Amino acid sequence: MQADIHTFEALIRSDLTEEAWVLGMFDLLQYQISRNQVYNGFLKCLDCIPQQLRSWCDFPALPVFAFRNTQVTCFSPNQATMIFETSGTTRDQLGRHYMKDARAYEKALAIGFDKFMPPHMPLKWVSLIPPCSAKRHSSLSYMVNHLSKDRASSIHWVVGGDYVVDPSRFFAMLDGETPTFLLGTSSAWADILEWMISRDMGCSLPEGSVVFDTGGFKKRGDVMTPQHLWKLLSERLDVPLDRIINEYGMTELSSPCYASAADGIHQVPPTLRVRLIDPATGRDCQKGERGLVHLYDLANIHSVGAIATEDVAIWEENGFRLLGRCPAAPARGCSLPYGFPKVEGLCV
Amino acid sequence: MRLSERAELLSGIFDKSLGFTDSIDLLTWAAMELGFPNALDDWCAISSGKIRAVAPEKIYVVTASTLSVSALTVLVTGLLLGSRMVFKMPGGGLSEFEDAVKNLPPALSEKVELLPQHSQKIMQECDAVIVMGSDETVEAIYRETSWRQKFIPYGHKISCGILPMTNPSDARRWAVHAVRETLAYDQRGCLSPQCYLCTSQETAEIFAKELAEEFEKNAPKKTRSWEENAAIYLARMEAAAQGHRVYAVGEGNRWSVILQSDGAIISSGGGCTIRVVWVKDFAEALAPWQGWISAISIAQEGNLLAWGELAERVKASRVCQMGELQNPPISWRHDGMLRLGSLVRWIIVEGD
Repeated sequence: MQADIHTFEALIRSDLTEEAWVLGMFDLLQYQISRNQVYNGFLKCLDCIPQQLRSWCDFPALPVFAFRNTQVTCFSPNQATMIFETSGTTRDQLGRHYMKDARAYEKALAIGFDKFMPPHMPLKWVSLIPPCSAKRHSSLSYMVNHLSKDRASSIHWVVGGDYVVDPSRFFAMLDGETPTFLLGTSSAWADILEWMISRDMGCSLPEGSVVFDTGGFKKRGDVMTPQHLWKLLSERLDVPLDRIINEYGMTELSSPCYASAADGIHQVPPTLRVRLIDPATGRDCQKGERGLVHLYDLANIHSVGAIATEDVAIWEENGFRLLGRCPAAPARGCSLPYGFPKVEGLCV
Repeated sequence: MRLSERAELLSGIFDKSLGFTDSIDLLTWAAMELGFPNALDDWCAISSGKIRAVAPEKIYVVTASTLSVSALTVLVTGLLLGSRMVFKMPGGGLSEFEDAVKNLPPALSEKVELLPQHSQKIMQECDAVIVMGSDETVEAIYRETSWRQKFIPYGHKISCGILPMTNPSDARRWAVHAVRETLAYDQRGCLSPQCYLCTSQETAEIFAKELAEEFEKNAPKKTRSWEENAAIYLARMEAAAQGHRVYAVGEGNRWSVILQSDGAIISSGGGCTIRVVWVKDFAEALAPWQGWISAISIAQEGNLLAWGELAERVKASRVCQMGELQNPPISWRHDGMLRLGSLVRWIIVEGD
């Protein structure tokens, strides 16, 4: 094994070639097999022999689930300088992404953001995502904080660690003249829209403003489709759909994907490759077929490069369209649904 | 029509999969559950007078989408009692069951009605309500019933197998039986095993490997929905991520065997996904499942009575030899309940 951490870090570039990515990802995954006990054990459990893997796409992707109950690292977790935690709303246990340092992560974030954000980005930022000081282990907070350093002249944090949205505080930050970059989770945007709709209120954002939407509907019982959310945002904030950008990322990932609300098609940053896997065959889906999203992230140097999500997507011309979270096979009849009962207690 | 006539009509229609071969079996079953061979037709003498069993005039049945055989079993029960029956069919239908209803002789078919949609109004007109389905479905229907109606719930249940042998190599010969009871009905019913428990790691390893080989030989090709395939695929990947050895067919999700050593049991979700779990103690391992276990199959020839106590502790209602999970006798108490006996109402006339 020739490659080391520095070799992989050097690959995190905006002009990364296909060939460099392919070779780099293969080397990274081989490197991780030898250093990441969880990934190594995962392959053994699948009877997968590392010496027989010939290409990056021969390497099985580790389910994100593994981040919830094991330490998925290539180093001793007590050497971690950062630990990102999932919000813990989708399952019982928190997922943790341990990072030895932030170099690759920060580079990958910046490359994807700069590539996919619309031109003439505003310098004034208003964030409905809590600051790092309030959410020390939130990758999202870290991302916004890091990206704002070189790209914003000012950033206004209008939500605290409890994620409670105060719309009047949010609107007080909008002066009606300065183009603004507004960042929030789908849940926060839903709160803002609900508030506006209840008052039959509209708002005309200054031309050049951009809306950033990410994540799901955490802590909200109700949900709406992303398309509906973006349409409402466009109407109520008077911002064109192509200035509303959705981020598809997760705590376990370093290289998020981005979609314009104009078409809802996510595009992949240079450091990432997406595979859509047919669950019947374990093979890649053809265009038009639904598949489980597997992510191969060259910037996930310290954890694992190959991640299997429970998200479902379909290939489109210029990227992939997310269809939502995989519905578990419906519980049918008198037999029990998968995963029942929880070991720690009974709940369906 | 008398019970014997109904039994005669029914015995000519259904095959052995419902637990009876002829009308004698059906009459014996009725006599055993009701205490008298003719209690549905005549007054029967007891010490304090005479009694008679009255069948529900009309039974409302909410069927599950899982299996036709479950609905057929209930159909036989109701028709043998002489009740009229209204079946609320699942959204996707139940073709085998619907075909069987179409082929009933007129004297029986006129008593059966199939509803595409649930009707609370029709249900409330019935004397008894039987619900097969998820716990949520059972609870939702229960809330719509009256205390005056008999309510028979068949909610979520699973079954499992136990390998108690001290010699691990003995596990080999039971794999073929385990595969048979898993493959039957594609692991979709409450009598389908979800896991096999062993108290020896070596036994578990041998059995898992043997199961995989038997599945490979015997598991048929299946057409599964995308959601079913996804559930199977995710179950395998999740198990491997937890450090469990996964044996699985490469394509088509025909079968999967997951070997666990953590003693934690979860249901597999069907699709011939079986867990072999090394546990310290059977009762302790099954404790979280208490109330959700239907039957337990034992890899042991004879002397199964010794396992009755375990069934009692974990609230299971049936113990059988491994391989027989899917072949309950007609005397089977479904979820611990008499199938005919729990539906009838008794009248007693005291004195001479």
